[in-house]
Amino acid sequence: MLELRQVGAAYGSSRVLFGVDLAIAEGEVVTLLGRNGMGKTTTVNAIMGLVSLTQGDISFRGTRISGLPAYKVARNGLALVPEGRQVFPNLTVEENLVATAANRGRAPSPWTLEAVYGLFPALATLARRSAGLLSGGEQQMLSIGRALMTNPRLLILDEATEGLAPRIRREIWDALVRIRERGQSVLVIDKNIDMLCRFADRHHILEKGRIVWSGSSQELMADEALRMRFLSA
Amino acid sequence: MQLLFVEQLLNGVQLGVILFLMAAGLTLTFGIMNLVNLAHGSLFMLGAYLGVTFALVTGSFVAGFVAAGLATFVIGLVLERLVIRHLYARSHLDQVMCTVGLVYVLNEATRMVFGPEPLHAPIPAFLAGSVELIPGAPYPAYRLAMIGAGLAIAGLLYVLIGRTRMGMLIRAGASNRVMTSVLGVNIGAIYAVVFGIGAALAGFAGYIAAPILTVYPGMGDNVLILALVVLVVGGMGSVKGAFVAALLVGVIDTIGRAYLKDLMALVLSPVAANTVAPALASMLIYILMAVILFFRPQGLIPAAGLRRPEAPPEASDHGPSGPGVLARWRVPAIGLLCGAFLLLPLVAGFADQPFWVDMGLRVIIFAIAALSLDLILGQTGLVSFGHALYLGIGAYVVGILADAGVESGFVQWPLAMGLSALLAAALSVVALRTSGTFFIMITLAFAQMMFYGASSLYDYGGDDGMHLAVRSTFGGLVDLYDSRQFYYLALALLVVLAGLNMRLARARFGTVLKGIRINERRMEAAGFPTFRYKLAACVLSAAVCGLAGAMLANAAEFVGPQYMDWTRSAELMIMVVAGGLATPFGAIIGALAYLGIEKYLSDLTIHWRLGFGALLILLVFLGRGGLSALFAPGPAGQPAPVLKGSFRWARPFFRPRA
Repeated sequence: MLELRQVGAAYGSSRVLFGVDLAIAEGEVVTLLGRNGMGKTTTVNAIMGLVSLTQGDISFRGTRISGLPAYKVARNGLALVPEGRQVFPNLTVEENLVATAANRGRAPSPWTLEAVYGLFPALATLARRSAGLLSGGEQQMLSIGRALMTNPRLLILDEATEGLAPRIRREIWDALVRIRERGQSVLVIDKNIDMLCRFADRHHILEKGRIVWSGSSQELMADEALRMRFLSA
Repeated sequence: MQLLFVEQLLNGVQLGVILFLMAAGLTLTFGIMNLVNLAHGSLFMLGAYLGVTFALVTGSFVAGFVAAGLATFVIGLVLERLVIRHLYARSHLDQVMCTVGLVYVLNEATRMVFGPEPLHAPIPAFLAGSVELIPGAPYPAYRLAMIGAGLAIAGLLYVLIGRTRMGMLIRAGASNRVMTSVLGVNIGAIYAVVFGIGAALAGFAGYIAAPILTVYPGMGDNVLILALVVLVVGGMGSVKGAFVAALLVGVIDTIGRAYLKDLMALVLSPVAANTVAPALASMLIYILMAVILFFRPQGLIPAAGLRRPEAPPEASDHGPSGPGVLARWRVPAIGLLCGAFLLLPLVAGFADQPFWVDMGLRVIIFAIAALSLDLILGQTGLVSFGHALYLGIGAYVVGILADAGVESGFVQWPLAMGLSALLAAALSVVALRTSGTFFIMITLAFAQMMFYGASSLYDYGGDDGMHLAVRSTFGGLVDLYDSRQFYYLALALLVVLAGLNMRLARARFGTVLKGIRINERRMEAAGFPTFRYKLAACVLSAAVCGLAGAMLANAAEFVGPQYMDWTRSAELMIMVVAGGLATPFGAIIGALAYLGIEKYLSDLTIHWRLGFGALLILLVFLGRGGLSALFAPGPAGQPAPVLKGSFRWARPFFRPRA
């Protein structure tokens, strides 16, 4: 469904990506792994149209999306849960969910306000609270809910459990598993390899702006040397 | 008495409502797009002209109302598409320059279409009478309807922003533009619509205010400045703040004008109260603004959750990046310029065109003023939009002293500089508490405050200004009535000041100013008391501009509030930017080019401001680095070393606190 071909990207004169190849099939859950500074977030930004490409192209369900402005990329059915959550602090929780929602029935099962509140019951009780006043975990749930409300065909999660308490993390992973059960395609960036191996179908490791390894959860779990080489901090 | 008070209070509310409609559009465009739009006053004017014309043609007041809003909405969309859109990512200085260009174009176009005579806007018959709100106190029905209509529009705006999906997207875009577009919202379209709504609000305000104001080209400019005060008082980007501040400003201004004289008569002699009260009353809201800013630099009700992208540092993109296309002609060009300035009186004598010398003198005086502005605008990156204030102070010092019989330039000129410096010190302590857009608006408001103050100096000609009784005398050394002697005196001063400017730029002081322009926080972290450096730059620059003002009064033999009009401040700014920032030659070439083009265009057509405004807009988009960039030598060679041992006597002031 999503296909990156030889994608290169740079911030000014410093190149970050050197030809990333990546493909995600419909209904698949895929991870992007790698240490800090290897280009994971840049890859995501390149997909979303926030960074312009220096080479290669990106297509989504047969249409070329590289070169499009971010909002057109999003309207093709991609939604980002960004690093640092980035909820709209001056809007209420419900406004955050509704403002950018698109009920066009694109996704396998369209997301509604009720469905999101069912997924994150905490948000329902906070509906009228300013998003800026929420805790980090609540903001993270809101950010995921907000992305789901655009009814994406592909949900992209960038460090969705970073900096949260273990209990909240578990809650969010539970929710992600339920999102997955609804047939949602997901591209996820995270550090928690154990959890990702249970959650995802396939993994890609990014090193210095290139994909250096791709494989299944079993292969990743089996290869200790690989994990030591590319993933240990 | 009480009945009259109620009437004045209502008048204040009515002014407040008009100001709110103006400020709402400004605060939206500022809060969401981070854009300073000085052309907003022209939309007010267009609303009045187009609405009134439509009402006169159709005979329906309501039709005119609708037309005013629709027409300005459409004009707003077109302006946004053609010009404004390209300014979002630009520095505030560029935004100011470009929208001032728009003001010139729109006002002049209006003058061309509708003629210079004021347009009479009748009060509709069904609102012509008066209403007795309180028995015995009739109040004009139209003014009451204005209040009602204004509040209704404010209510609609509240619902639009607070309750609709569009409003949510507007607020979301204000807090995080990138995230909003990542979620599939065409933020560019939102911007356009918001700008259109702001334009329509200004149009409505202009239309409903038309019957009680005079409808003439440029009518919106004064309202704009009041609206800027509202914006600063209320907190930029906050619609609620704009509402509260608009009513506050409207009521205080109206009540002040009505009652200040009586209040002051309680403590002062009637004569003194009569002299001081009108001046003070017209300055009241600016004083209010200064006080509020001193205690709450963010305004009364700062917008919640705004996380604006930092605008690019002022003037950072103006430095010539490489050698200019005329770089090889740099030395000949400078030689030509110096030769022309030196020989001008002789040439004028041969050609028998004595007014050339007067023209040259004017260029030199404005070059000095531009040079002084460049110290803060170009070198420090502080966009001061009120620099002409000191031109006026210098002129008034000379005028008032000459009127009092003190004719010696040895007294007048230093006093002009000293007073300018003193005033700059006082105003800058307040203004420098802010930065960016706030600084632009505060300097503008301060200049406007002094403009109104000077306009109320009835002993010195009030609005009309006064003829200078006698030119400054210099004990027989220089005779200013001999135009050549005056010319060469001014030229000598310009050369000395340009030299000092270059010297200062290479001293540690100038290097620190440059550092502040590029990254103030870093300079602060490095231990430099940046506030003091900026303050010193402002004071120095004001003193030099005061000198230019003293010379201007002598050259024109006239002193008037016009010298500190905001368009005059804009002119100085244009000279500096057109010539090129942070180089003394820029200021000189800029003054020459500005006055030259003004002379040429105004000889060509009475509508020269139209072409001038267009040139200004082109300058912002095409003229990177100004005229002096054409001659820039390029980055080749070593940068000039910093002269460290200089200005030792001034050191203690800049010593970092432990």
